[in-house]
Parts: sequence; structure tokens; C-alpha cells
Amino acid sequence: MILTTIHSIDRLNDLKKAGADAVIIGVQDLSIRSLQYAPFEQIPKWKQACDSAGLKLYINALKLCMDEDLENVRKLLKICQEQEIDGVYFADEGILYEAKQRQLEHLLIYQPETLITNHLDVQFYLKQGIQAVSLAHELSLDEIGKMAVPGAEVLLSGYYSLLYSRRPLVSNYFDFMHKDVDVNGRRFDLIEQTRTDRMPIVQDETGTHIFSEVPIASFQEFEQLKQMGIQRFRIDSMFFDDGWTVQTLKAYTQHGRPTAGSDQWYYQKSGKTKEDVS
Amino acid sequence: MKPIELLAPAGNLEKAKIAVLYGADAVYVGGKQFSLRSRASNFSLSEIDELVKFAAAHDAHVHVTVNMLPHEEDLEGLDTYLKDLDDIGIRAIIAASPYVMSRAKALGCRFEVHVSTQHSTTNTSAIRFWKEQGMDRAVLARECGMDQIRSMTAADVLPVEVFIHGGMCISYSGRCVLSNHMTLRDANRGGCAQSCRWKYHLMDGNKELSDPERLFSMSSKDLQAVDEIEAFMKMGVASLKIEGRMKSAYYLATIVSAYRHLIDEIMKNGTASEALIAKTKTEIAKAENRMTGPGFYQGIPGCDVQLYQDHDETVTQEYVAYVIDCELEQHRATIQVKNKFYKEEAFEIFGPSLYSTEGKMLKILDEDGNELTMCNRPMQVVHIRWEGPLEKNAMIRKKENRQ
Repeated sequence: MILTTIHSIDRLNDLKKAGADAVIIGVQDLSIRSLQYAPFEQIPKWKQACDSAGLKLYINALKLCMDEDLENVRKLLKICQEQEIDGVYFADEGILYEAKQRQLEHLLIYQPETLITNHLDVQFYLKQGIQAVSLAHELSLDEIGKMAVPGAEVLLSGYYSLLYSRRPLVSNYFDFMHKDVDVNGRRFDLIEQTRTDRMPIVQDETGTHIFSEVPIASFQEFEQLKQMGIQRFRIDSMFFDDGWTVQTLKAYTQHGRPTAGSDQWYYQKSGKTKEDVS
Repeated sequence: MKPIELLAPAGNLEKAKIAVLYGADAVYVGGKQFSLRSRASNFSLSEIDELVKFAAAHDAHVHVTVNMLPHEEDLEGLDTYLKDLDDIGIRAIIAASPYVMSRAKALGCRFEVHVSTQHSTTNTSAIRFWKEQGMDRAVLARECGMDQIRSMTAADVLPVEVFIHGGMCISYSGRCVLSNHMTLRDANRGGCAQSCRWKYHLMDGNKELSDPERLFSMSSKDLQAVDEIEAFMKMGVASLKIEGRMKSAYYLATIVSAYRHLIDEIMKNGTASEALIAKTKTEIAKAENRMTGPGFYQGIPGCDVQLYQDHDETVTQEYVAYVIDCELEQHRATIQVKNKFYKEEAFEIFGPSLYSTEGKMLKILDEDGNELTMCNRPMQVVHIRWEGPLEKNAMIRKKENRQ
């Protein structure tokens, strides 16, 4: 199964034709790093459109919630149940608890970006009855192979999220500089002072997010990942548009022209100390 | 008001013992395996055993961090390690991997399992989830504000632990792999290169928005929660945690001692005076090498809670000697030199039961009985005559204005 994020509801059919099986949308107050933040009232409209296009509908609920967010979590789960939404991405065990209270855990996909680094932790979450677990980005291809149980999911194409802070880091800097700059939702880039690569940085209501210098691209590894046993693949079009997603999908499913990106992460391995990596 | 735990870090046995002596109810240490902070001189099992016995003799406890996010290759030997820790009699492990947590329970280990802050627990439902999994305590995310902590403690699901002092990850803990991507050093396996504290050009397309003289950085001031201790105690927080397993024994003694006095005063009187709050802050500042702020406890941190300039960090050399032994009636002590000092300088002394107070060095003799006017050889043992209170295991520092 290939799941993709989507910018416009009008492109559902294009994504389907290009090979998508499902789309992921953002919703108000509970999504982070999303392309749109639809009010809950629009979820039925998305569901209907996805049904018409023959696509499954998933929802990004990746925010780390405070107690004051839990009412929204319950509201979202109720809508998901009523609308027969296919799945909800989460990163906070509070959402898992709330879903279990309603016997809705089968809807959930755990996507904490960084925390899932071995097959036993994958199994821990799958045993909770959830649908899938997204593997940490920094894993090598070899490591992914050892974790490739049914229910494991990887990001095929798109920018990696490297850091999630609750702090408004960009506006704080401009405040320090006494500069008045509109930052909300805007992409800026960071260049470490001794390097040249650019890392996108975005501040929004939930905090600050930093992304990899280039998107991952898994065109060379796609078949191998499937042979290893990975059955769920995600494409994230953050900083792109739906045209990019269509082209990327076609490259995976129809031998189309690949989009730009790097597969370097599959072949490098992080270490525990400076000595490990020197 | 329920008793509250003061939980201190320690990078080696000496520091752990100091933390206990200076008033920590519990210390947390990393073992040789499965722990973050790989640069710390982590504890062998025999050292953990020695520490558990030492702590027990002082009515304190030992928590062991088993908090790395293990990759496949790291899992070998986990069962044996957990059983060994159980045999030693530690009070708790702090774990981040749910497999590690549940494995400890499955093995029947008697120690408690505390859910690490790497899991960024920020709400009551998440705590309920961990309780259902059989866990014993949740270490809350540093991103929680006071009202949010109050809401979680009011629900009284599991005991919760909050950070009160020390370094702050700029990211939600565990949700950052900047170090991995920039240096291949795994932040979640103890290799964090602290890339967030580096300097960056901030660009809008091809236009630089940052000042080349004061580049963008994500470095945070350290946390200092003196103002919040009373509220934490009243809302029923179980444990107040100091961060910093890499910090010095002097730092630990100063910070632990200051919070110990504050907590004891609040337990005794139900509140702390403004004068004590101010004195506690002054004491703490004597050991800080980085500016401090309230973290998220007074709202979402603004630019005043971040560090943008290199000179925002300083090195303290005011700690001059450790009291190895003393004869109170003779006003004599044997001390180990830590940093250079002159006999005539103004000094302060503080110890396990001695709050910071002034003292005077009347005479210094080396091992051969030669009189000294200055000590400049760290680790040298000398004998002094001292005017003022004295205590074994106390620390002497220069009385210096840190303006």
C-alpha cells in the first residue's frame, strides 16, 4: 500500500491513477507538519471524495497532546468511527489510550519519527492492536530488513523530519534581533555556518520543525524493501505540490521518471560515540 | 503535603556519593549498557552495587537509566542485565523503549519501571496508557507548563516526575535526530553532538535574514525552577529531577544542597520565604556555567530563555577545596585542592548539613609542614587552620561576586 499526503482535494483522481492507495490529510488542532489543516466538519467531504476516487483516507494526528487537547482527540475519534475513516497517524500514547477506550485502536498508525529502532518495539505497539508502525528515519536498509514485519511502514519519498520543538525558535530569533518578520507556516532554511547544505525550518502554532537537507528517494530500494517484507509505504509532499506526488508515484508504480532525492540514509549507520563514526 | 523525592544525576561513583551526602533522596546513574550519555564514565555493575549499599546507608535510593532507544544490535544481554540490576536491589530503571520496559516486568524484576522523558508524556491519557502497561512512574516532558502538570497530578494516575534543573533539549526529548544527520552520532543512543547549539545562517530563499555576527542558534538556557518548587510540592508531584550526569561534583553538591534546603523549609513551614527563594537562587548561580531560565514553567519560552551569544556560557573556578577530614574543636581540616587560591582570599564553606557560610583560612601547611600562602596544585592535600564552621565532606569556594 502506498499512502501520500495531498494538497488539493481536486487531485484525488490524479493520485489514484498514478498509483496511490490512500491519502493522508491534516486536521485542525491535532496535526503537525501537514499540508492543510481541515476543520473536522470537512472530514466527511474528504471521505466522500476519497470513496469516489477509490482511495482510502488517513488522518494526521501527530501532535503531542496536552490535557486540553484530549477533548479534540475524542471528537476526532468519534468522527473517524462514524465516517469509517481508514486510519489515524499518532505519536502520543494518549491517543492510543483514548482509541482503546473506544475499541478503535485498529485505526491507529504509530509514527513518532525517531523512536522505533528495533523489531521488538514494533511488536510492542502492534500487540496493542494498532494497524501499523512507522520505522525511525535514521535506520539503514540492513536494519529495516531486520524489522520488516507486517505492519511496518517506511517513508519512501519526502523530507525527513529531524527535529520537533514546542518552542517558537524562528520568531524568538527575530525577537532577539528586534526584527518584525511574519514566520507562521513559512519555510526558511538553515545553513550551518561551516557547511553549505540547507535544512528547511518551519514554525507554526505547534512549535518548530526542521527537515532534512534533501528528500529521501527510494527508487533503487523499492523492490528490495518489498522483498524484505515491508508492505506499507508513505510519500510526503511537504515543500512540493501534487504534481510532484503524481510524478513520484509514477516512478514507483509505472517506471516513470524519478523525482530528485537521495538514498544515502539507507547506506549509512549512526554510532553511539564520536569514536564510532570517526 | 506528601514527601517529595529530590532526584539527582551522577556520572560516577564519587559524584553519586556527593549527591547523596548533600541531600538527594535518590540518584540516577547510567550503566555500561543500554544508557544514554555515553561520554559519562558510566557505572559497572559492581559500582552500582556499591552505590546501592551507600545510598541505603543514607536512606537514599538508586535509579538506573536504561534509556537508549536500542537498535537490533544493542539488545543482546538485556535480560541478564535487568536481572543483575534486580539482584543488586536498585529502586528503579528509567526506560525509553517500551520493549525494555515490558521485558523488565515480564522477567518479574522487583524494581520500578519509570517511563523516560524520551517518550514526551504530556497528558493524563498517556499516563493512563503507561499505567495499563504496568509501569510505575512517568517522567513528564519538559514542555509541560504548570497548569498541565497540575492537571496530570490531580488525576493521580501514576506518580509523576518533573525536571527542575539543568540542561534543556531544544526539541521534545527523543524527537530529534539533528545529530544523527549532521554527524552520524545517534542522539537517542548517547551520541548527541548537540547540533542544536551550533550556529546557523537563517535564509529566506537566497536572502540571509540572520546577522552574520549573531547567527541563528537553538541553544536554550538551562532550567532553574526554584520559583516553582512549592507549587510542585503542593500539587503532589512525586519527584523533582535535576539533570546533568556530565556535571561536576561541585555543581551537584551546590545544586542538590540548595534545593534540599528549600524543600525541607517548605515541608516544615508549608511555604518558603522570599528571602529563602532569593538565597537559593544565589547559591545555585555559584555553580552555573550557563545562564538559567524557567523553561516552560512560566509560559512558552521566548527569546529571553534562549542563548544566542558565545559568551552566554562561562566556566566557574571558584571551587577551591574539598574537606577530606576535620577536627572541629581544633579548627583544623585536611583539604584537597581543586583550584588555585590565596590564603588571604574571602571564602565560603558549604557541606552536607552546612548551608553556605563564610570562613577564613588562617594557616596552610603542606604534607611536609611547610607553610603556604597560596595553593595552585589541583589534587594536592594540605592542612589548614580555619575560622568558621567546618564539616567533613564540605566544599570551600571563593567568595566572589559573579557579576
